[in-house]
Amino acid sequence: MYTILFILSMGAGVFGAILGLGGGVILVPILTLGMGIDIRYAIGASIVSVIATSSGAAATYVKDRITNIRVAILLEVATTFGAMLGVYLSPRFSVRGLYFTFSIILIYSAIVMLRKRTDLSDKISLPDPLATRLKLNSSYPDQALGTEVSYVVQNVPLGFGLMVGAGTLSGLLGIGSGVLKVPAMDSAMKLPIKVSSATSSFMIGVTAAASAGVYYSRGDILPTIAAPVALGVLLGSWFGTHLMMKMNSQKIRKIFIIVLFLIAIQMGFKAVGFQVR
Amino acid sequence: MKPKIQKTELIISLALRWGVIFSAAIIAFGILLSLITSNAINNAEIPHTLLDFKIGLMALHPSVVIALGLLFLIALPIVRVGLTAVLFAFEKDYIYLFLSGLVFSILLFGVFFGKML
Repeated sequence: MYTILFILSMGAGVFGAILGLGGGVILVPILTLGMGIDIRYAIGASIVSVIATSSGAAATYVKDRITNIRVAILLEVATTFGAMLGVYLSPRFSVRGLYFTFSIILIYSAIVMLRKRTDLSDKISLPDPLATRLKLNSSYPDQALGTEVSYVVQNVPLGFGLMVGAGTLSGLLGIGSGVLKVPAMDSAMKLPIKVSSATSSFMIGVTAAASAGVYYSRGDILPTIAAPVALGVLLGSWFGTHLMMKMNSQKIRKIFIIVLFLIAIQMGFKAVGFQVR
Repeated sequence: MKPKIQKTELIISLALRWGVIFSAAIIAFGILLSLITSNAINNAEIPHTLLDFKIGLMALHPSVVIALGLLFLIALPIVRVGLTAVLFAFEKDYIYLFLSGLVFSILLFGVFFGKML
């Protein structure tokens, strides 16, 4: 069983690192449906997986200057604040309604991301004055293109607001912070997809670490499951980062949009009370 | 023209890299212990207090060793936020010192008071 867990987690790590997700959305259904592991322990393992993907991927992305650290810190204020708000609000909301909302937001994000693909005017647009003041505009080396790509950051207040919302929703449901962070950075703030993904990778560990302490003390993080998951994800995320840097940006966007639709369907099922996780 | 890697970024990536390798090595050591000794990995032995850790580590219990590695891994992002704040302080970048300090405070609040929310 350890070997199977290890290999599956490696796959989750590769995917998570490329797309800027925690791998939890992939891992939890596999652990519960595929391996018959209790949902409590599957979520505990998924928290470990998110943290492992984040640190494992960030080690490479930060060094290779794909991650925008300033954007990450600014938005972490929004997401951690949102997460606390979400935890505080969670007893006041119906879980089904939240899954339904989540599903709608994901479909909307996917459509917005699909539309932007044809829009090439982004390159010449001006930065948000706030982005200039906060020194958010930057550049990253794109290995697929073989050049340094400069970018400006737009709609900083909107991006910040969306991140508060993303943090709140993930605090309410305990899941899915990456799937909301990437579209917000991509569509609202107009960051290149690789920068969005790497910056999301960098951020998700922080949100997950905040709640991991609670999960650990409740005994949800089991060594037998979490140990092979952690090692597998760490190794997978290392492969994933190197793969992502060489990939074509359009391809990453396409995969991300497909994953958004799939998760939206998964959440939609949960909203109508059908257990698919 | 290729901009040189900023010092801040280099330090953060090195800290993350070695943090990850360190945690993974402890977890792998725990698994190895369970293979070469008669102690199986036991979920009932998850340590919760410092004393649990002390006793478990002295006896080289695989589950306690693995739990220690997992806790290091979990703490890593929080340590990283703290480190970022320190690095911005050195750069005299006060806006980002304030922002990363704010994130660090929210995180610590969550760790210590999260259950009360």
